[in-house]
Amino acid sequence: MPNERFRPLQRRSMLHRWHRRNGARFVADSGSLPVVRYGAEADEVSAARGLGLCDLTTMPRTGVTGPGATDWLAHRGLRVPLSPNLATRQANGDALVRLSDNEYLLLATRLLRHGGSSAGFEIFSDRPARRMYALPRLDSHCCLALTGTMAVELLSKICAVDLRPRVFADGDVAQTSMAHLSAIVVRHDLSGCPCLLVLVNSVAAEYALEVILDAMAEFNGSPVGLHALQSCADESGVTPSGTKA
Amino acid sequence: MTGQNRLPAPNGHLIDRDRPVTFSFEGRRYSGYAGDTVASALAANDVWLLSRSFKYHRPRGIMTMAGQDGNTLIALPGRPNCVAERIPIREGLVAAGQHYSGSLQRDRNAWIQWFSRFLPAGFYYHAFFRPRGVWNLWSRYFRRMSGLGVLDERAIPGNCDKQYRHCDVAVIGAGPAGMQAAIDAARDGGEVLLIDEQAAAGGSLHYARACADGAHEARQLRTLLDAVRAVPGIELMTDATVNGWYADHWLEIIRGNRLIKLRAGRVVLCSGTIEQPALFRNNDLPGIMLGTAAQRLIKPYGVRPGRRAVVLAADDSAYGVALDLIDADVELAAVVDLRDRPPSDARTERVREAGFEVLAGHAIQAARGRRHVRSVEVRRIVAPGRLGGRSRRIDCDLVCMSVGRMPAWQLACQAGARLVYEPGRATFALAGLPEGFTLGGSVASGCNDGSAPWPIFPHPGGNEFVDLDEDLQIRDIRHAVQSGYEHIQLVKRYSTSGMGPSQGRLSALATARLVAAETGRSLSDTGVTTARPPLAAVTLAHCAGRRHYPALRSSIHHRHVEAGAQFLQAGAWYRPAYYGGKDEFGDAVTREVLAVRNGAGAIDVSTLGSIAVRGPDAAEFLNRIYTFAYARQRVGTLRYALMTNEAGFVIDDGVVCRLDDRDFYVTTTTGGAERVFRTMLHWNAQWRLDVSLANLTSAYCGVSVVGPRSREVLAGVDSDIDFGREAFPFLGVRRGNVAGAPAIVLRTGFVGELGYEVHAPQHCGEALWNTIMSAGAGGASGEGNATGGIRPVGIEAQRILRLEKGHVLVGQDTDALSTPMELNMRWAIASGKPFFVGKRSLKVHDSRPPERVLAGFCIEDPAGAVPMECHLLVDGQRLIGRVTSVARSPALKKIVGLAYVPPDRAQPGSRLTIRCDRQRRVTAQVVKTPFYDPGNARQEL
Repeated sequence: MPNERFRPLQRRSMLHRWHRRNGARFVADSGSLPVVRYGAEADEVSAARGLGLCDLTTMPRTGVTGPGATDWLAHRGLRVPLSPNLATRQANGDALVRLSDNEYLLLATRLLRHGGSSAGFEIFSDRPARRMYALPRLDSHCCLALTGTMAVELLSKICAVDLRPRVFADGDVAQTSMAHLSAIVVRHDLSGCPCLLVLVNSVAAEYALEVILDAMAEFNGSPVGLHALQSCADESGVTPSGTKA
Repeated sequence: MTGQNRLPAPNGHLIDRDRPVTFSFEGRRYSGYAGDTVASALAANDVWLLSRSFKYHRPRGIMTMAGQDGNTLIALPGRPNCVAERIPIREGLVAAGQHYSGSLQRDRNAWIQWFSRFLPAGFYYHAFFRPRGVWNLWSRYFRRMSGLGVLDERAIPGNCDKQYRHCDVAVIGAGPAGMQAAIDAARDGGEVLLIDEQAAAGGSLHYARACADGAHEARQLRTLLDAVRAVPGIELMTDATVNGWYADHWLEIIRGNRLIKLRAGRVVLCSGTIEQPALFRNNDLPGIMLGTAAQRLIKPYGVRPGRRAVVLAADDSAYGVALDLIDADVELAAVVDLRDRPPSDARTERVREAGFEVLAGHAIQAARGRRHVRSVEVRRIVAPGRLGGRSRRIDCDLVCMSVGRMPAWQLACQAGARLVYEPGRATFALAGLPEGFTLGGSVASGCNDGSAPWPIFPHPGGNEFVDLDEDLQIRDIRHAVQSGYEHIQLVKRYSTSGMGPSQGRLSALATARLVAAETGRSLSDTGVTTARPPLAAVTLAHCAGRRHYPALRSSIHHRHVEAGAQFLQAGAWYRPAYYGGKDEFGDAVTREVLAVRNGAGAIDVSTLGSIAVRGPDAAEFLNRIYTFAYARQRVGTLRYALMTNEAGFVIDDGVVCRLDDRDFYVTTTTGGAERVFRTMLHWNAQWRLDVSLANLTSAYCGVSVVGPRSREVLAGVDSDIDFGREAFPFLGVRRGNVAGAPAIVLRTGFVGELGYEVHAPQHCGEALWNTIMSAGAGGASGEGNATGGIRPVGIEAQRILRLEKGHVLVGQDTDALSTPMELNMRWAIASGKPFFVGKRSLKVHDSRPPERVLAGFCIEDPAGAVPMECHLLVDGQRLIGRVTSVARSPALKKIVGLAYVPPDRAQPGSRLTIRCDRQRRVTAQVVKTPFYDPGNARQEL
């Protein structure tokens, strides 16, 4: 049980210093400190549609593993992907990623649409159920979103997997190597705006950022804040495309 | 008008006459148009001499106008060996010739061609080796005299990178067949990548003349280009060379500064044919070019290739060339046709009707001219390869050769196809293509006129060049065969035919014909040499691409930077080596060691591997994985963990912490984390125990607080853990909150002092470090800890600290064959267990007397040489061991180390001789370890 005496430390991205150097504006939210923007929001929305890079590392996420995981998740009312390397959108907008037969990653992607809190993630306590084990995905990985029409083109410079929309559709997942780094890539489009979530080891966050910025320069991409992504997701008013079978 | 040879429109459809461009070549300024290449723009300015040949320094100019040969290699700033036919001009471009002495026009080394008779291919195999050592002198001279451009070692190549692409269908070659293949594939619903090495799609439609009507190709080009643009799913990629085919249709493409790795569902090769030159004396003079080269100059670039031309013909396309020359206002002196009776065709008829002379059954015996062709000698063909009758001289400044073609075979052959000679079509055909690899257009169906004799006419004076890249003449190929190298592959290696920049595109057929004639074999039996990637020259910068070396940094990294740490890389991790200036290594490390011995130090141990082993069978799993016993390990304690492989050799170590009955937290070495986790996954899959494994290395950071003051420091940190001696004894583990972080705290003794390792979620790292450093800052001062507080400690100090304790560092004190017994770690083996990985092998090892033992040594002489790691132990001249760790101990004030020694020399008091740098020898004495605090009292405070 959490000890009430201690206030949890504020959660910052491993890239916090880089954001600060680049003029990021932060807004404290549910114990974390996400970047909401760097400059004019309208410019960032436009950049996000072309090629944007958004640090979602502070966005809640967790993982479970073990033979009991699938049943437990289904019992909790979550829509469980039918096979590994697929992700399903939950009713609240979160993404449940199946990494193997018995391993899952839950991303609070609802925040990309509505903002708000990470309520609901507390269900994943240290030992949520029998034969099921929590994985500290919030600390083990950083999460970067690559958005816009050029996102796939950018990743083609550092990742060998075929990520063309026809082949790698919304809800597809690739566990691969990116610039010699293990990475999980999840296609999670934002109401028509292409979006690839890239999760890499948290301790490699600066390296991953360096590599992505280098690859990005060719396409005039730029870092964007969470607000730009929320605008991309909300503007069209289209509901999330639903579950991938 | 830019250049005296520029033709009016409609010629020159690839240039933009509204955009003049100025550039320089060999120090002179020239003008061209946007869209021109260096070669076309120079030709427009009547500059035909572009380079000097590899060996004989002969003048060379445009031969193919397609970038398929080494005749037009020029130097750009920092970039030698650029193909002038492919380099687009741009404002201010500075280009120069290469490989000459003096000037390109008057190369002082051109005299060497007069001695070519004495310099046959492979001459250096026979001479210049005696007397012994003289080759080293000669080779310098040869290398200066021969070669291509000079690499500018100061030049920094532009940034090159790589890209991974995918498509359903890759169509190689955007000529008429390629464009049609792409349209068909896209209409079938595939994503098609249409690739061409030229700047514009269209292939031969840009220049060829398949019928008397010269506008037919232009119309077809427009139609196809419109269709390519209109049909969805086709991406056109020009200026891109497919340089290699690899398994599963993996194509290597060079485009600008990028190397593209394309994975295609299937490949359609529409690479067309490669026109072949004729072999006659001085066939390499500038002004002598392929018929298609002249057409490429005329039509896409609007350049008149000469004023008075002779066309050498062996097929009907030569008459298309003749008609194009006529239309370009070039005086056609004659068509010299190798065939006795050239077949009737609309093009031949039109040439005849226009009254131009056609010399049937004739060939060119020799060309004349110094730096450009001025005339040719023509004779009647009296037998294959033999000319006779009266010689006729025809003045001309242009010779166009249209004497046959080869399919562009290289990529197909890389994919496994074979070249089979078809006498009826007088050409090679491709057979045995792999699945998913098809041919389209003339690469599959092109043919030569089988009635034409081979265009090879040896001359007593030589200089009939077979391979222009390597200055190989007919006699060089014959000489190779006569020397016993009869196989085409041996001919290639002896003569270097096909090994130059053109990779045999213009020489393979002629070489095969010469070898076949010389050996009496058929062309099919002779074959051509193996085609291997790369097809065209590729720079090292392309191969290197972007620098991608993963770097791992803990969440505390920036605090180390701010504290002035010097970093070293341990695998991918950046770890603080020590804190201080670059020239302060020794002093800084000593300060840090003494801080730990006398006060408190903080070490970032986030790089240690951490693995969660959970489940009902977790203890059993660990019992099998490690040599020690864990089944009865008490909750809240930790035990040393030594891992051996199946052969019984040590591969890693760490500690196993029991957090709960079924919940273990295991640490590994920094470098071993991935390997240990993989090993665990492997065995878990074999044993099928009810265990869950999770690699938490990146999820947890760690701060090791060590030194006699460490308890005091942590007592100053807000925590619900009791760090007292009784509450938290040595080898204990506690979970609780430390400075706001949910932590696992381990009481370890790696450095031999009271110490606590605080492991916490990665995002807490910086705050945890800050809190600990603040809590430690107020303490009493100790030696080496003048600030009175806690000192950040790097791994250099940590290595000394553990060495003072005689602790083994896996990877440094072990090698691939180290057993626990050699390391004196029999105590870490629970031999009563029924099984652990490596147990059986250890039993075998233990049944034999050991050959070496890791022993501690010390050197008392402070003035003597200091050995280094890996220095050898000697007994006279015999090597008996090696040093694995050594350091000057700040605490003990002497040199201490570990070394592998023969068992009979491992007794305390034994003398060892260490051979140091410059053959200096140092005497060391074997001592018992630990060197420091032998009773281990300090770590158990």
